Parts: sequence; C-alpha cells; structure tokens
Amino acid sequence: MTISEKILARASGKDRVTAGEYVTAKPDIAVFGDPPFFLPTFIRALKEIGVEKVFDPEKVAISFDHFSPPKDIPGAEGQKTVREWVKEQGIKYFYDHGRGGICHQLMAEAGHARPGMLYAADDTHAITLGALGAFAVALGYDMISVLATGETWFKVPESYRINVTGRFSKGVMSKDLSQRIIGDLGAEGALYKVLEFSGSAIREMSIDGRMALCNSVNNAGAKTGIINPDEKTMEYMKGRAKKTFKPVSSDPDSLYEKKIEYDVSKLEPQIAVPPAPQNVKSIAETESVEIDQANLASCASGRMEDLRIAAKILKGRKVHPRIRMLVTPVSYEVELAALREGLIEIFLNANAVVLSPSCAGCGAILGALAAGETCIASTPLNFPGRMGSPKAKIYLGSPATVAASAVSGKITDPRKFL
Amino acid sequence: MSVIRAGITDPQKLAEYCMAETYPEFHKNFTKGDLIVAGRNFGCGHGLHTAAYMAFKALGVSAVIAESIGRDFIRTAIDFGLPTITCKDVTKKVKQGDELEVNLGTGRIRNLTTGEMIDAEPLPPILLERIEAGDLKAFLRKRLQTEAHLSHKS
Repeated sequence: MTISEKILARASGKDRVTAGEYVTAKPDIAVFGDPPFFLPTFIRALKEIGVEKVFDPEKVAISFDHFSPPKDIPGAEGQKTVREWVKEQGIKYFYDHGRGGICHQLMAEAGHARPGMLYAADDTHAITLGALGAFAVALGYDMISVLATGETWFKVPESYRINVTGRFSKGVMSKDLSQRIIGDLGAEGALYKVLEFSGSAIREMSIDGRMALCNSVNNAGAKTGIINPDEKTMEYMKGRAKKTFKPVSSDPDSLYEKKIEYDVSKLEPQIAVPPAPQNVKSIAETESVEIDQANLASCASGRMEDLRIAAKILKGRKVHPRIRMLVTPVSYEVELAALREGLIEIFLNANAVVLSPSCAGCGAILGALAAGETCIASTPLNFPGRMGSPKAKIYLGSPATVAASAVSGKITDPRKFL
Repeated sequence: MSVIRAGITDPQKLAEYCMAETYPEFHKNFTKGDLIVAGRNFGCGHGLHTAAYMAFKALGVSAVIAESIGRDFIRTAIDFGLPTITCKDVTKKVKQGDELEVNLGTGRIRNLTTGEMIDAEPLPPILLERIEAGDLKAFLRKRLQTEAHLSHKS
C-alpha cells in the first residue's frame, strides 16, 4: 500500500484499503482556524443537533489565524464564542493571539502534525502538513461530523508519484517547483488524487521547502500532497511531537495511477499569471510587469528559509519608491528567530511592512488592492477579488521572486540579485 | 468573494448570486427542483466557503450531475443535502430543458425527453444515507438518537 492507503487503513480499522474504496475513518486530530463560516458555525450546529460534548477534547486544536487580531465586531464576537466554547469543552490546545501563528505552520511547530497521522482540519491548506508524512485533509463544514462523532467518510484516493531529481539552481525555490507542477497538471489534472513526492531533490529539500511544495497541490484538484518521512522529518519532530507516533511509508510495490518525473536542475523561477493559479509561465515571459505591491505572506511561505532569502536580496536595498511590500512571518516562533537573526531589521530598513503572523496578507484581510493595481505574492491563490478589488491583478511567485520584484518595482528574476 | 466579504447570509439573497459569474440571470430561469447538468470540474476553486451551498439550497437545486466535480464541492454539497453525481459525457446526452429521472443509488438516469438511458456513478451507501436523512445535521441528529437509544437499552 502507499503511505496514504496505510494511514486510511489504520484510521478506519482495516488491514488494507484500495483506491476507490469508501471508508469511515477516525481522524487523529481535528484542527480549526478562525474563519467565521467554520468554527462559530460548527458550534451553533452542534448545539442544534444536541451534541453537548465534542468527541474527544484531547484531539482538538485551534488557532486564531485569519483574523489575528480581529478587525471588526463580528470577528471579535465570533472569537469570543469560540473562547467560551473552548473553556466549556475543556479543550487545552487553544492558541489565542500572540501564541501561535498561521494554523498550518503552528500545528507542525506545536507537534500536532506527526508522521502517520490522519490529520483533519477545516481549512483548505491543511494539506501543507502532508510534508511531515501525515495524511492531511481539509474537510470544511464536514468537520461537524468529526466533532460530533469522531469520524467521517473518506474515499481512498489514487496516488500520483512525483519523482523529483536534480539540484535547484541558486534563487530557485520549491514554490517554483510547486507552481510548475500545478501549471503542468492544470485545475483538474490531479482531481481527487494524492500527489506523493519522492526522489533525491525531495530528500535534500528542507522541511520549509516541503511544506511550500505540499501547500498548494489542491490547485491541481488534488486531495492532498504527501512526503514519506525520512531523517529530516524525524529531526524536525524531535522535541516537538505532542504524542508518540508511528511513521509509515509507501511499500516499494505500491500502485500509482501515474508516475511523473521532474528534474529541477534547469527549473527557472515560475510565475502564476492572473486570473488563475494554474496559469503558470516562466519568469522570462512575465518580467517587467509593473507592480504596486509585493506580498511575502501566507502558509505557502514566510518560513525561515523564505525570510532568509528575501532578507539576502533586500539587505542594503530599499523597496522601490513607487510600491509597498508586506512581509508576514508564518508564526511567532519564526518571527522571533527572524528577529534574533537580524532579518526583521533588514525588512524594516528596506521600508517593508512587517505584519504579525496571520493569514492577513493572503486574502486582503490586510493589504487590500485597489482597482487597477497589481501585486506579486508568494501565496497560493490569485483569482479575481482574492486581495481586494476584482479589478486588481495578482501574480504568484516564490519568496525570492517577491523580494526581487519589490526592489525593482516590477516582476524580476531573483537570480539577478543572488 | 465579495459575497463572503459582505457577510451576506440571507439565503434568498444568496440565491441571486448562484452561478452569477457565468450566468448572471441564472436564478431567474431556475425553477425549484431543477437539476444542474455540467461539464468538467464543476465546483472547482475554493470549495469550502459555505455561501455557495446555501445559495444552491435556497434556489432549490435538487442535484448536480457533472462530468467531474471538485472534491471540496462533493463533500460540502452532500452535507447540505445536495446530491452530486459524476457522469461521463453527460453534456453530450442532456440538453437544457430536458426532463431527467435520476436514481442516486444505481446511478441510472433516464432522459425523459429523449428516451435515452444514461449510466452515472452511483452514490455509495455511505453517502446515500446522508442525503436520505436530509442534510448533515439531520443525519447526525438521527444517528446520535439511535446510539443514545441503544445505550439506554443495554
């Protein structure tokens, strides 16, 4: 069986499962962020159904990350409701403002995402945690099933094996690989599949890079992305894991619906051109598009690896006078480390805005764009209206590309600065 | 996106936005109980925002039959009591205005207008029971009542 099949088999109490099969499985954890149409809605629904106690408060983890801190009264009311409910339910893994950061990063740092787990969350980009060898899925509204009964239905997906070899050239990042793969597959090229990444380039990739890679596979229609745990994974888990865990990996004779090869040696920086994240072109085709804003933000970036390369480019330079740059460290742990390493000082000296760890820079919760404006962002989504005006244009690129573009005031190949 | 930002929750108002980007007058031509038949990757994009499903329910969409459907859409639609079925080449066999008879459990679709029989992927029992209960809340309510009843008995 593949790693995904092994995890679903264990979580559904079966010896084995096959792709295409429907099972009822028990997630090992239920994770929530704070969009108002999620947890506050779920709490109301549980009351309506008559569920007084959640299935297992030990298996629930919550982080306020979209609206941290809340920007208006409804947001504040929603968070107040959640706080009261957390207390009533005896949920101890609750990370209020200032104590965590973007959910999908925080849960890795806090040891709630572990190899071998069936990891269920409300928000789409929970799939990021597949980087740690967990089967990580976004269930949205269906998290009510999990809260009420501790289980829900799953269709065992087919897996594509994406074998990545070669060495990234300087200035080319895993976000570029992620975009290239999404561009090649298209919006439904991997519909309902798992993208299982393997190969020497994956083994050499940092955890930060692996998370960036798994983060956006849903843009190709995939159910999730996953990487078999290895020494790097185990090293990351040291001192973090909240519970003991049993990692699993794909058997050598696993069945894959497709096997795709990528050699990153010649990979150039990739840009997703509006209006869709699947519209991916090489940097050469988009260079010199003028921008108004540069966002290094979201669960797709803002990790130490991303902040370091951005700081390298911005050191001793300024954000172009015509534009604005927003930098969001992905978590408080990362922000503190960046502060100690002098990176925050570099950003501030360059005239970048450093936002507190939250989803703000991804969906125009902060940093909205006006009609006719153009942004380059290291985020997962660029459909019209994502960052404010539907008449604004959003290009997606790696953190390095975002930093280089911030300096020139137009989309720029980061290799020029490195 | 603007609908979500505006925080519109009134189902009747949401119904007016149904399919608005592709077919602005969609809600005007739709009759309660009608079905949506679509091509590839229906419900692609950010499928977890609940506003869309509230809109479909308010409009009275009885089912979505498409050549392929986004995974987020399937799960949330079922939870809102909206059956979704995958059916290869359905857009070649069904025209706007055709009357269809759909058996969710067998996947058999009868085009009453053309007389043609179409085979779609059936809804598995695990999803059929959710649809039959009405929606997720009704399904869970029923299940929890059954469990409470059983534990009382033992």
